[in-house]
Amino acid sequence: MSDLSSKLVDQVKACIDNNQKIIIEGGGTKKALGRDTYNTGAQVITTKEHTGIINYEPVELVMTVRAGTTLKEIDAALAENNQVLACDPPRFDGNATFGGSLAAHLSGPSRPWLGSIRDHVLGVNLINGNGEHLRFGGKVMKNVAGYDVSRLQAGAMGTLGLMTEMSFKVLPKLAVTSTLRAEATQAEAIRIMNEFSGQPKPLMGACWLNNHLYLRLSGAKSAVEGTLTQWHKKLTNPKELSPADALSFWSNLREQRDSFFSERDADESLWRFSLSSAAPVHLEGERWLLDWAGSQRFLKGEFPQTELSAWAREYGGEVVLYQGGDRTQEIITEPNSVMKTLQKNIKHSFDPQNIFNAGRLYSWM
Amino acid sequence: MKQLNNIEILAETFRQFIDPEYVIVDQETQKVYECDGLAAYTEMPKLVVLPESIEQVQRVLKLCHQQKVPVVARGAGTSLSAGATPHKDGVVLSLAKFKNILEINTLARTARLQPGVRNLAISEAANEDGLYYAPDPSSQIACSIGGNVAENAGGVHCLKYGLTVHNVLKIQMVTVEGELVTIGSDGLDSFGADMLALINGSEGMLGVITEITVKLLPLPEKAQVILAGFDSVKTAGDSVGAIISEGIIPGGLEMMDSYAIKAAEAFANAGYPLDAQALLLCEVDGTLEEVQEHIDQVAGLFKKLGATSVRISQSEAERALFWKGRKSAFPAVGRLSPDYYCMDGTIPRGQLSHVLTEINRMSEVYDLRVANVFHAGDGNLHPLILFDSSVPGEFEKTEEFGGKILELCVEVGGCITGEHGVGLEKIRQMAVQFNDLEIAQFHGIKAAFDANGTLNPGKGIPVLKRCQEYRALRKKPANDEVLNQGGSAA
Repeated sequence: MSDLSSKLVDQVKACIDNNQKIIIEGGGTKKALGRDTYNTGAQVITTKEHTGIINYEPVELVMTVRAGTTLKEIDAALAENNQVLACDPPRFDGNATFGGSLAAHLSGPSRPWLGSIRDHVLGVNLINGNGEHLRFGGKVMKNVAGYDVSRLQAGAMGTLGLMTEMSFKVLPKLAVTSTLRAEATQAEAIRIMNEFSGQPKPLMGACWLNNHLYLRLSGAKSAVEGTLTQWHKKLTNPKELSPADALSFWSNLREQRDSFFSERDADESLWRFSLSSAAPVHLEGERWLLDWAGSQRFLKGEFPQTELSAWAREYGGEVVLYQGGDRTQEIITEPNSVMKTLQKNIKHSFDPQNIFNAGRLYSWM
Repeated sequence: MKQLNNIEILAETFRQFIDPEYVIVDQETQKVYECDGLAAYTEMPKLVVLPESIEQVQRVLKLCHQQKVPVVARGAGTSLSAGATPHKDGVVLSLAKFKNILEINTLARTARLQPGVRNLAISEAANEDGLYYAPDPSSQIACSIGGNVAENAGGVHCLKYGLTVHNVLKIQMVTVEGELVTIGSDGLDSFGADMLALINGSEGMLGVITEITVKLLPLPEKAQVILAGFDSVKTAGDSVGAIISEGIIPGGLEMMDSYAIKAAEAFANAGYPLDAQALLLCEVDGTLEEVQEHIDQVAGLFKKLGATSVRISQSEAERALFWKGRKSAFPAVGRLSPDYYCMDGTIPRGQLSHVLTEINRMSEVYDLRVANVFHAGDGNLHPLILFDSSVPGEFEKTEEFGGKILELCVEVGGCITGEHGVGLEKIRQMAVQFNDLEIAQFHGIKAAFDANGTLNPGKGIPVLKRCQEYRALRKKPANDEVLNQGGSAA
């Protein structure tokens, strides 16, 4: 546990002075995401040693950590107080850091109900492209003073600065969890996942894979048991998974190590769609995984990006070449010129010399 | 910024594409736009315009941009921070005509809305499908969803269901140049930096919102409220922590002090305990089974921790009655005084006793009464300062007292605004919460969207010179030390 923020500021300043591009790394678990910028002569600055829980008050439901602190360490500290992260990002073998998790903005299967790391971050300290170490947001639940720079970092993949410290909301652990597996076609699953999401029940996971629908219930014991009985009747060949099987299924899904992900050639394209949960079946018969009750969908295989993108847009969303494929090219279709200008302007306001993770999101930024 | 010297020409241009009745130049008709919900701040604009289509909004913005004329977008005008106060050289762009609910997608649980749709109207429309829109600011009967996004509005249920930023999926916005952009998506996230979060709470300074898609949630099967009286604010505050430690996140968790209890009870006859020093309203919602389990747990906990009275709502009517006192607390307190001023700081909950003690001490120093209403679950404090604006100097004294309360919130680790926004009202205190480099970064973000600074100028983010002046005025050093060696603070 050590505070290396002064050293990080010095490193960034030195790079600014030398107009040296920087790749920011934490636990190194997300190198496969974004565009490949490792062969561009950029210097790696790591937050891996900048670790430690700075403040944790269970009764306030707030924790403050240094960016390199692993989620594993945070989970352990929270567990001592029967609390958990308010969202459920992948842990990636215990190496995922809080900073990297916020920058990449990945979320586990509970995303539609618990929200994402972006929803629960309260404040962020970051070093911008002028070498200034700034503090935004705070440690309290509600704060609307100034623009929301903390949440802006979610998904930015470190392009707006080097985050050093963040405060976030935590929650009490939910009492009981249970999982139902039932047979369903993709179309049936989309309908059921959306319909069940519209019911006031303690749903906390809804996924479709290999012609099976998985529904996770979490909450007060009475609520989970009552819902299990009701939903049993509405499903085809439902089966309640054993606690061990359920835990393994949902954690494999969250960690993206389910065979759907692991049985993929390194070069094979893995596409990620973020779109309306009610979007219908597309490219039927291809290899799909549907999560988040249908609003996050993965597809494996080679397809023209423009066609996938046009379909996603039709349902209010987008598609990213999530992993595999040619990562030196654009991994998402180009935004329109107005959005492109706004994004460039925002980037410029934080990082006028374009030194942080240049090219990680787009070739032009 | 260029003075608008020929307003009639601009008005005449607007009349070519907007119904002339809604291009308002006469001062009498403009009068209703001179202020928002914080009526102490008034300013007359040069022109008020009420477009009816997105294309008209685009043309208004394009023309104003070309002539560098300030534009203040306005929803229902219920802001409590003077966020919608007109600019003296500018145009008020009212979105009052954008009142349509465009689509409710029951299966995907989303609603697509024009910005002038009232907050409560969303839930009213969604209720028949068993759905509702969660954020519920006290002004929900009047405030509009566009304004909710601009201010990142909260409400009594945000401890469990989040603020506006947690419930908005997508925004369509017109830039200062008049270009239409879509930010966010019908999915739960979008590629790249989260610009959607940046727009929420941006107080009309980054663009003019013309359409919003929000998430709808299933109506809970059941909700019940526990009303508990306590003989001290500290015991009530400790009870809040105890509920959360038990693993229960209530749908709403509100506290009122004795002054607010008495005022609310006189107004609403809700059966509040008049002898209590503090009152907690704890709403538990969820499935039938869950609510029963949690209500018993919370009631037991309150009794164990020394509540002097505990009542559980036995019907929907009684639940509504319990809330009526709280929801009408502002006007109820207002009945006791010619005027009241509502503050909006957030603090770590553990600091509650200390902060209330300090507020009471300052109340004596300033000789102004204060009633406290508190979103206890998430630490958002609403002290109501009672004053009489007809007494010369009393509003200025009230404002200074209010400013001190906000600065106290920052000192104990909180912030100057939880849900009302900065607007004109808290712009001085921004210099207490942020240092010059941070404020400069905010100006950089503003310039990324609006290089000439014509969208709602003078609100939200103070100019650096003013920050330095304000800090110099304060006797105590400001909480503006620069982290490590990031640079030098003013």
